[in-house]
Amino acid sequence: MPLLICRTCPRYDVDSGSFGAALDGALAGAEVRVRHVPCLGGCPNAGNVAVDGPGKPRVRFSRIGVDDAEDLLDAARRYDASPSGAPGDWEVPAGLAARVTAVSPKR
Amino acid sequence: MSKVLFRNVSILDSTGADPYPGDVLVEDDRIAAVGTVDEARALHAQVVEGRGRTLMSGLCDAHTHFSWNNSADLDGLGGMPVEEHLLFSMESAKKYIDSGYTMCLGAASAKERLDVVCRDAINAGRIPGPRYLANGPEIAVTGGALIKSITKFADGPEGMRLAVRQLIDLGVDQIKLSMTGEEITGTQRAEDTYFSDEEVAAAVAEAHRRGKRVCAHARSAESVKMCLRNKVDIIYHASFTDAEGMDMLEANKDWVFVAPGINWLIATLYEAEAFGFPQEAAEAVGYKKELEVATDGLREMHRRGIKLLPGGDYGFAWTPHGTYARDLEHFVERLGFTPMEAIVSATRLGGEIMLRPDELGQVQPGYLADLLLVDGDPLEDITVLQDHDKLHAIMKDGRFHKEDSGIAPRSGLDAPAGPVTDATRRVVEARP
Repeated sequence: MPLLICRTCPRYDVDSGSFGAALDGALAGAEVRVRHVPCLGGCPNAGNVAVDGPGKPRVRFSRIGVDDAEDLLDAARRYDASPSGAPGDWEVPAGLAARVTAVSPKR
Repeated sequence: MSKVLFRNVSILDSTGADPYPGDVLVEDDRIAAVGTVDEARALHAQVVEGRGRTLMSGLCDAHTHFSWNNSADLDGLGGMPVEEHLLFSMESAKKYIDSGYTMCLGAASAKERLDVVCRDAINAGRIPGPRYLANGPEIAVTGGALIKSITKFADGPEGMRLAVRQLIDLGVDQIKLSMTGEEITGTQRAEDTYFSDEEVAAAVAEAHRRGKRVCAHARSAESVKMCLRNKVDIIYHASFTDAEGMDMLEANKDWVFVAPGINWLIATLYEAEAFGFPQEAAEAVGYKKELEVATDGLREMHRRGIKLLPGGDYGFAWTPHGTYARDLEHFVERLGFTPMEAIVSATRLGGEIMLRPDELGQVQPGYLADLLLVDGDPLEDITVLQDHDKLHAIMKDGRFHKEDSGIAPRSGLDAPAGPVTDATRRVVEARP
């Protein structure tokens, strides 16, 4: 299950990078493939994570905190199980639904 | 002589061959041996135990803007004071090589000498960065600029000749023509062409006469054809290439390069809302249409064997520096490339566009030692290259920019690399 975690959030603060480090801690031991990417392009809404798999749209969540770890894992599982990966074809966890800030189709 | 031995790696050599296990020896700045390494030759080499990790060429970004400063709007590219702007450009250079990019072709500089100064500082070893071909401010005709503050204006053939001469006098490696609009401006449309044939012809003639190449921001159908008629060397975007233009591209595919800068279209359309440009606005100005047309066109170009390279326009807030390798994912997911084709495009074709096809972009004996050691297989998952934690070692010119933490101290070759596999033997013996 793919999960992209931004490694520069919160970009505009002195503790840039702290978000990814904290979330890593919260996700320790979880069965998920994490990609630490330099940025997910949602900087004003710091705390960015995305699910992104082959043939599926990238779905970005913003204003994420460590308390959202379980919901993120749930989202990754549901996304992975969905043939299309498109929100609407899988149920975004209730705690994250209002924080979907980008859906980028592959085709 | 300095020596580095990458032992027990999966060699992804960018010839198009499947990866094969083996060793790679670097002597000074060159790759000395690939696949099988003579024990005696590797004596006293610094050993990197590959443990099966992928060893591949460094990557190329064919449309680089060191000086694009992660601005959230176009005008912000020109508003930074020169002192701060140079610092930012130097940081961009480091970000590129931190991201595994050892080859970059400059596509325009926001101020006259930012690119040139960075290039020279990299070459002198003063700052870290990729091999860099520098550009200057892009040339536009009156009324045709995307961002006036970063543009060099010229009109008519003689104006173009003068502008080219002035840019060459600054020390650039290539010239940029801004031939068409850009939808985000709201006024300069992507399908509008601002240059005349005579202006392009004059710019190219002057540049080529002085041994410099020309690249062009060319989204419209007419601009693509104008580039090909007048031998523009590198066409950026080519979004609205029509049937005639496609045939012209194919007829000239032995020399022309196309770098679509596809991530700009995707991110601007879908991911820029946080910066005040929601998807609805992007669709309204035409980005959805452009992305759809461009995707179809680029897939056709790929099918016809036209040289397509990844890269560009990183350096806006929603296409930030450091995320360059996302282009390879787009090539696979959107443009129909296989992962191998995407890798070859970013490496071997990178060596070609850098004008050093026999020295850059492949893991072959005699090539310059610009190498990445990757924890993972990019052919199985192209997105691994987006995770800098997976780039365990980055080498340029035979020197480590980033060292693998598991490097053994300088030592003799205590144990053989292991039995040579049939796959390795076949590749090594097939070399001319």
